[in-house]
Amino acid sequence: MIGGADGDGGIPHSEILGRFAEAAIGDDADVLAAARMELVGALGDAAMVDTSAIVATFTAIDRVADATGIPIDAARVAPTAGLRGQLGIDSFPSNAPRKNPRFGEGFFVCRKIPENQASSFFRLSSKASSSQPNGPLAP
Amino acid sequence: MVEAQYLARHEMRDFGNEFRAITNTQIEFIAGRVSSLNQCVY
Repeated sequence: MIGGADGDGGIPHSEILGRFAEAAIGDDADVLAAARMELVGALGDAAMVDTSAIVATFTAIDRVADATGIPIDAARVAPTAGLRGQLGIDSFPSNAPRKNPRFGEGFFVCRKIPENQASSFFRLSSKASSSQPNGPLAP
Repeated sequence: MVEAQYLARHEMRDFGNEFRAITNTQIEFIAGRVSSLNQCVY
């Protein structure tokens, strides 16, 4: 989610859900504990479990993509060029030229990058919400 | 695993019903945020 938005953006409790998602991916147990309690308090135990499952699923899918090193489909490179440039996706470190022995060079689908290389990405993500700054993953 | 933790195939296209303790909109918001943090652009 890239861009600017205030509050919940029309999605009930999205601010709380976003904080929990960021904390779940982060590495600060105290921040995660606080986000978990906030989520349970607002939406209940079942919502916390389902939210955790969604975070886990979409992290696992990314890791599958990372592990296989699949590039973006060739047919999608040209049609998405404008959108990728507009959103700043082309500036992601994952776009740096590199070679996969199976697929060759290309724009890769996913790549979780080391935090010390993430400055361009976090400049983008920090605009997501004025009340939802970088979170625990911020440099 | 995806069906257990996310939605079954037929549920993904059923926008008239909710299947979880959080709404479809909330699910997709979380999925989008997590994908963005993981730099997944697929």
